[in-house]
Amino acid sequence: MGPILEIKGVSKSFEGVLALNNLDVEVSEGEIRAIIGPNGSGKTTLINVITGVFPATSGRIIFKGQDITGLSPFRIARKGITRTFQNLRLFPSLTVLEHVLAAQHHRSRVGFWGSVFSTRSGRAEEEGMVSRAQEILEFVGLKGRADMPGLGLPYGQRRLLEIARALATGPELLLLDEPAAGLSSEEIQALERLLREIRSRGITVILVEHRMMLVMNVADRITVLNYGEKIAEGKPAEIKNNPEVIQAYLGRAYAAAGS
Amino acid sequence: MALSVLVQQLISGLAMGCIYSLVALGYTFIWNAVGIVNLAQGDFVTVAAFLYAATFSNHLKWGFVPALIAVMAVMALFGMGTERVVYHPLQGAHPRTVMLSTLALGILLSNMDIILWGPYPVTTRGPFGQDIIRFGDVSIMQHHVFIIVVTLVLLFLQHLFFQKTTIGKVMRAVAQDREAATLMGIETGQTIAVTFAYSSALAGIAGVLLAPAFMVSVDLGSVGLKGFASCVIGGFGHITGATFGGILLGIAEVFVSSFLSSRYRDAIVFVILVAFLLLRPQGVLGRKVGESL
Repeated sequence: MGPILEIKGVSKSFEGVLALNNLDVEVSEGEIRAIIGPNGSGKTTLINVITGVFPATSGRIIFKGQDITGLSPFRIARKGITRTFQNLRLFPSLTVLEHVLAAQHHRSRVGFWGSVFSTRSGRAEEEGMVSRAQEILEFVGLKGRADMPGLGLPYGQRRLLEIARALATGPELLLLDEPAAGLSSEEIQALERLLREIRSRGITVILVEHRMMLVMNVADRITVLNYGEKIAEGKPAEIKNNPEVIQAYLGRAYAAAGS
Repeated sequence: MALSVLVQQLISGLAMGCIYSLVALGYTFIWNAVGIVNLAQGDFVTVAAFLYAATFSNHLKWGFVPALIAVMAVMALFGMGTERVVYHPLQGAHPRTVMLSTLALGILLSNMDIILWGPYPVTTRGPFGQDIIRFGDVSIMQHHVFIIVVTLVLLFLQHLFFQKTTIGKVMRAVAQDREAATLMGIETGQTIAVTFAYSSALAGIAGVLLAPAFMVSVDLGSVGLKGFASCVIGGFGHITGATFGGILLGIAEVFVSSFLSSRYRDAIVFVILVAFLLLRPQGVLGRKVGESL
């Protein structure tokens, strides 16, 4: 399948410090693409640039053949790109269900007044939204938690709620920023299954992750960043044995000793 | 002090407190949505009071309910205009800059009041005039009861709006994490415009309720300060806190002026404000935050 996302010559500098340096990445439709690299290699910056949080200093970002460079974050989200956050950003006073409903809102056809005065069509639409929200919660494994406050969930389930909230926007491309951070090994296995199910629903996934076991198990292809540049790209097996990657992660001495 | 007097004082304090709560809620919603204290909030109340008293009630002779609705509508539009002109162009500027811009708007408005409606105080008759209800030896201004009832109804509707409607949930999400909300496809610009409209409409209600009880002049803008103090007392950015702070302040004011002297009526507000800022800056219900402007 063709590329869903093309990152063409993207650079991002923060007051002269180059966080991304002339980066070219193509993500195919329907794949799980892992992006790995040592701390500070520019992974999260890349997510922020794709989703429009920061504008790229130079370069283009093409989504489904359409240039989305410089669009505001909510427009990019409405085009079908959403994300989760490395350090969870849930809405403190919203329940689990309300998180999903708020994220679904822009897909609803009920306008402001329809929502306030609950017109008949508005009410039917809102009921549909609630049942869709419940489906999403069940899909990620949060069934039965709908009415809990989001922050009342245990840590691992908060991560699932972030994924549910992102799915609620109806994305074609889902960006996950370290979804396995802080999870137990059982929770990571469940996450692995969830990622595969998300892919089987036709959603392309970009996975920024440190847990190598998860990455190697689930990714179709891996892109390796170091100091904001792409140093390798390929299937998990190829990346595992790439000396440049080993060196970036473990240092020159280790690479030399290994060869 | 006789019990009857105590009850009378309490009701009149509650009524004033309700007005302060409405003003305080106006501050709170804008603060929660964009992190700005709208320093023109008190002047919004004055504009609304003039609009109601001088224009709709005295000049056009409209009834209370249509006049109230008209003032709220005008104020809501005015709030959206304020968002466009005063806030929007300064997005991304330091909050202090935006607050100065709202301060300027306040000064502009209080002078515009004089140009439009003249320098003399305006009086108007509310739906109940000076009518009094008597229970035994307790006599209560009907208008005070009316203020309390209107405020309670409004608070109830507001609660329904934020808890039950999807747009209310979306607005809460935006207030809590604007960036995360925008990345979920929520158009925060729209919800911010709605927030400004609603905050101004609240000032509109406060102005309309105040007008029959007082002489309407630019001095009415001082309720802005009382509303601000209410927010500090309750915990800035806290909806229940703002309501509670307003009512506490209204009652404190009335009792101080009857136990000490009415000359201390305004002074007590500052005493309470300073005391809270010194001893409990997070307010009664607020939580401590490490960040300052």
